[in-house]
Amino acid sequence: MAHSFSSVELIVDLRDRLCSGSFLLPTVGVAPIPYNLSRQTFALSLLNSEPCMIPINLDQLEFQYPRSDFRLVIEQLSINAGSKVAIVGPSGSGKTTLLNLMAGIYVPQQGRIQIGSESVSQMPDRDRRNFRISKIGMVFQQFELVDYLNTLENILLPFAINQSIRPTRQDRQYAESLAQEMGLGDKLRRLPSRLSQGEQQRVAICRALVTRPKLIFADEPTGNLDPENKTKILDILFKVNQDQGQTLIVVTHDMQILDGFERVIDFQEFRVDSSHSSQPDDPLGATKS
Amino acid sequence: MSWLNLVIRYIQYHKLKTLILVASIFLTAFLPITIMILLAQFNEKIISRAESTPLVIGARGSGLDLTLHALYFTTKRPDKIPYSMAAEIRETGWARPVPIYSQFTARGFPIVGTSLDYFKFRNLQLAQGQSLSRLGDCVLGSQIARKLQLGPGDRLLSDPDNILDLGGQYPLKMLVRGVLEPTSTPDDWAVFVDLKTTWVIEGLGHGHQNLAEETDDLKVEVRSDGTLQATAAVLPFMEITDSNIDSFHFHGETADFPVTAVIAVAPDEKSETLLMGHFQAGGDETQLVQPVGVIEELMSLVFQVKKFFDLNAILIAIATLFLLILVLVLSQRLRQREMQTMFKLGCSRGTMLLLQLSELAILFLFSSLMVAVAVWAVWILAGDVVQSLLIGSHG
Repeated sequence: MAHSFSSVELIVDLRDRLCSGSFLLPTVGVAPIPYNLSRQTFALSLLNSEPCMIPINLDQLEFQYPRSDFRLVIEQLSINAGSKVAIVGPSGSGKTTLLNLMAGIYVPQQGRIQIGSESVSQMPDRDRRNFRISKIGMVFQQFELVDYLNTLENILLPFAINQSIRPTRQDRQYAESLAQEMGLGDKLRRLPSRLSQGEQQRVAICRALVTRPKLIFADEPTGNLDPENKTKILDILFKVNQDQGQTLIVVTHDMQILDGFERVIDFQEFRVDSSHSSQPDDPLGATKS
Repeated sequence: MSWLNLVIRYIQYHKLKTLILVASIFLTAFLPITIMILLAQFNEKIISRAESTPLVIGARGSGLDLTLHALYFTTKRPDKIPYSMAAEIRETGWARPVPIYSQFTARGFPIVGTSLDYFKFRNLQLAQGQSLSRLGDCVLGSQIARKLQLGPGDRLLSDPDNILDLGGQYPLKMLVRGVLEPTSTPDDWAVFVDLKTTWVIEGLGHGHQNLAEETDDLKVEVRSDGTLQATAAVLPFMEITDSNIDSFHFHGETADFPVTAVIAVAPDEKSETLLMGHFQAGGDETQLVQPVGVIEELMSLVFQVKKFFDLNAILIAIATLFLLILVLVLSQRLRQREMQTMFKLGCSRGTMLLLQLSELAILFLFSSLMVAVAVWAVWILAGDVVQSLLIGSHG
């Protein structure tokens, strides 16, 4: 069907197609200039546009917890921008460790973690934290909501704990609209103790999305939910991935939820050296970030 | 929402814990500070009163009781000495005697029998009315006048010593002649009368109808020498008025009449020393005390006791500190998961420390504010509290 595009529509269309992964380009510089856009307009529009999708590359990665035999070795792993990836494997195999490495919570002893143009593993602490809070949205199995904050405050928590990002009125409005979308519009002032488990996880997802991250890392997001809520939460995560194009990486050991994922990474393909085959009880306490 | 909001929300959510911690810090700081303020004011007031009272002569016995009675009209009265002691002091020429006889009360407040010299000596000024001018007059301290709502022209009845002692002294209805300016001293809480008025209250002097005109045998006995003797059926006048004042008279020598203390106002140190020597060389019946010395001795004892209290306060403070640390450590453990989540979300360890230190700072700020307000209130009320401690339970 013939359709005439205005310049603005073309930029938006191009960006959306880039974000959705339907129009993959090796680099922006060699992209053909679409339709009747001038080279200058196209370049400016791309500069002003937030890149939505960030690929992840892990290369020769080695990580070992202090005072532990557990050792994770990943020679090569690439995750396409905007994809839906599930990481599966038995308990204690290092799935969460990998997620924490990619999030910059842990630092590998060797190797490189490249997220987009940024080498997370080479960043200083502060940059890694800022990168994490601005580019990555994290969802946890236990929801990890702060019990003394209400729904809206929990959603806005990333702004409160990082003094480098100040929430604007738009951010607050965005937080409210996210809650609204997740069916939490009438529960904005409720404390987590007065929310169901499904609602709590939805709040956690809103919190992960409020900074408009490019990547969503979810660690067993359905692990504590009943089947009905499992489906709901996965639907939400998939919808976010579909609508906004964020790269979605979900760690799970639940094989029943793998259907919707584009790629499933089985942890058994990586080398995990461990005499005890498990990680220390409190890996975070022993971690440097 | 900022990190400060987080801290405030945490405190709001954990109200009980916060309240207990604030109360612990408040009490630990408030009690020693209060004691310190009260003691400082007590010391200041009692020393200044003692310093303004150079020498006190009274019956031999407890020097402290004598001093406190002469200075504060305390209800624990020393033994009486004869009024002649005042004359003896005057005769030495070394000091001006100011007699005090405080044996009775009026509506619970001490009646202080003295001379007009007392008002000059203490520099007491009249706020209303006039000074004592006649037997049966009284001048009220400012606080009594306020509390009893009395002013010049009103009447005040002395309290009977023993209501079952029909043959003893009768209460005397005194005329309020004036009210003194407030001085923030025990003088605000005393009913001042002339010395003779207190003797009338004691029954040493009285007024009654003319016995010569009395025909009732039950009221008058004729002695063997022909003089008339009133029986108990003759009731003394309970109020001294213009019409009956002439009937008032004293039985016996006024020199032998009692006083409880005599303040000796010496013009200089030499006279003071001479007077002290005179009384030290005197008989066993009397003693001369320097209120400053007595009070300083008392206060040194009080401060000795305070040292134990201070030690106790320090131990309580240490215990509270340990309790605080324990609560914070336990709270830290309980918040470990929350902190881990914040860390995973991108919170720095510095911010997490800031959150917890801010919580602590707010607790201390609240406690300090409460302590400040309470100490301010104590500071305002301390004068009255100390005064009531010193004066006792009058009123």
